Amino acid sequence: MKLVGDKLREWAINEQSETKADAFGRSAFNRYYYASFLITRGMLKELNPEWAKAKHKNIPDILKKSLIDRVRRQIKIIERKKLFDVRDSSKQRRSLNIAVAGLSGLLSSASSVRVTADYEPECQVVRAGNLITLSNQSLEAAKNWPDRAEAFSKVILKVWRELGLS
Amino acid sequence: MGFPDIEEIKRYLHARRAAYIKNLRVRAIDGLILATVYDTSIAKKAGQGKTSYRQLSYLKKIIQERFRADIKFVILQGKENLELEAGLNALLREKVSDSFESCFLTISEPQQADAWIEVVGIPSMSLKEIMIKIEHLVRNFLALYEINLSHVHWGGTDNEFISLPAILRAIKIEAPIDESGLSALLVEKGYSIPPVAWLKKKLDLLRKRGMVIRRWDGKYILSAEGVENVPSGRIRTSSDVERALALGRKKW
Repeated sequence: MKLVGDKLREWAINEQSETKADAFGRSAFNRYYYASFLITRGMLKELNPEWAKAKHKNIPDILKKSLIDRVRRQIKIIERKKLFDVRDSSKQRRSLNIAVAGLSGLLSSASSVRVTADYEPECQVVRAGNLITLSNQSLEAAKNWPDRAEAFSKVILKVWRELGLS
Repeated sequence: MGFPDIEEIKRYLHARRAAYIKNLRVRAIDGLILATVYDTSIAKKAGQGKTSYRQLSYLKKIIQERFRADIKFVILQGKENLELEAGLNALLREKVSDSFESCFLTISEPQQADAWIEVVGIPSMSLKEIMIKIEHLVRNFLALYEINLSHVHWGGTDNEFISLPAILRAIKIEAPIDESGLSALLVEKGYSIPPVAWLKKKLDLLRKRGMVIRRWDGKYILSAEGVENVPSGRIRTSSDVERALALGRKKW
C-alpha cells in the first residue's frame, strides 16, 4: 500500500497536467492513510481480534480507552504481586502513553485528510515545486504515516507482551 | 446538526485570540468543521500564543454548545518539526549509514522529545556500541535546538527486556518445560536469547514467590497462584487458548 502511495506521489510531482497531478496526489494521501490503518488493524488483531473489527472512526477511541484501560488494569495487578518494580511500571506506562497518543493522533488527522482527498474534489491539491499539499497537509509528511504507525504499533505490542497479555 | 455559520465561528475564535488555528472550514459532505492546528503550537499549558490539548477539548465543547456545531481539530506536523526530523535523518544517514534505516521524533512537551529509530543489519556483537553512538548523535543534535532527548524507542532490534509476567505466561503455555525449552520459546516470541544464569535467577525468584514449582525432573510448572497471575480469557490470543493449542500439539 505504501509502495503504491510512493509511486502516486512520484507521478503527482512529475506530472505536467494539473488535473492529473491532483488525481495522483489525492490518491497518494488515500494510500498512505490506508497503509497506516492496516498496520494499526494488524496490531489490534494480535491484541484482541474484536478490536480489529471496529470502524475506522472508532479506532482512536479503542486505542485511547479500551487498550489503555486494559493495560492499566494489568499493571496494577502486576505491581500488587511485585512482578514489576515501580521503575518498570512507569517505563511501561510512559512508552504506552506516548505510542497511543502518537498513533491515535496520527490516525485521526490522517483520516480527515483522507476524507478530503476522497470526497471533496473542490479542495484541490496545491503544488509548489516538489511540495504537494492538500488541506494544509504536506504529502512529504503523509509519506511517513505508515512508518510512524509501524513504530508506534511495535511499542504497543512490546508493552502488551511484557505484561504477559500475549 | 445542520451546517454551521462558519463566519460567526471565525469571529468568535478571533475574539478568543485562537491564532493557533490556521485554517477553518466546513466539510461539505457532513457539515463537520475542520480546524488545522500545527503540533508546534501545542504545549502542555496554554498561553503565549500556544494552546494545549485540554484547551482544544474545552473549545470543542464550547463550540458544540454555543453554535450547535461539531468541530474536529486536525493536528498536523509543523514546519519546524518537519525540518528538525529531516536534519536528524540526514545526519544519521551520513554518520551511521550502514546501520540506520529511519528516524522520527515525537515532541510531547516543549523542549522534550522521544526519538523513534529503526536500525538494520547490525551484528548482535556490536549492537550496544552502535546504539550508544546513535543515541549520542541524536542527543547532541537536539541540544543544538535546546531540546532534551527523553527516550529512544528502538526498532529493528530484539527485545532484550524479558519481564517476569512474560516468563510466567510462557511457562503456562508449554508446562512442564525445562530451562532450555523456555529459552527457545522466549526467542520464538521475539526476545533475544536469555543468558542461562539470568534465566535460572528469574525462575528461582518466581519459585521463591510461590508462583512456579520446579519438579523432580527439573521442569517448571505454574502453582495455583502463578496461574491466577497470568491474564486469561476467551479470545483467540488469550493464554488459555494458547495453552489448549500447545496441549493439542503435544498430543499429536
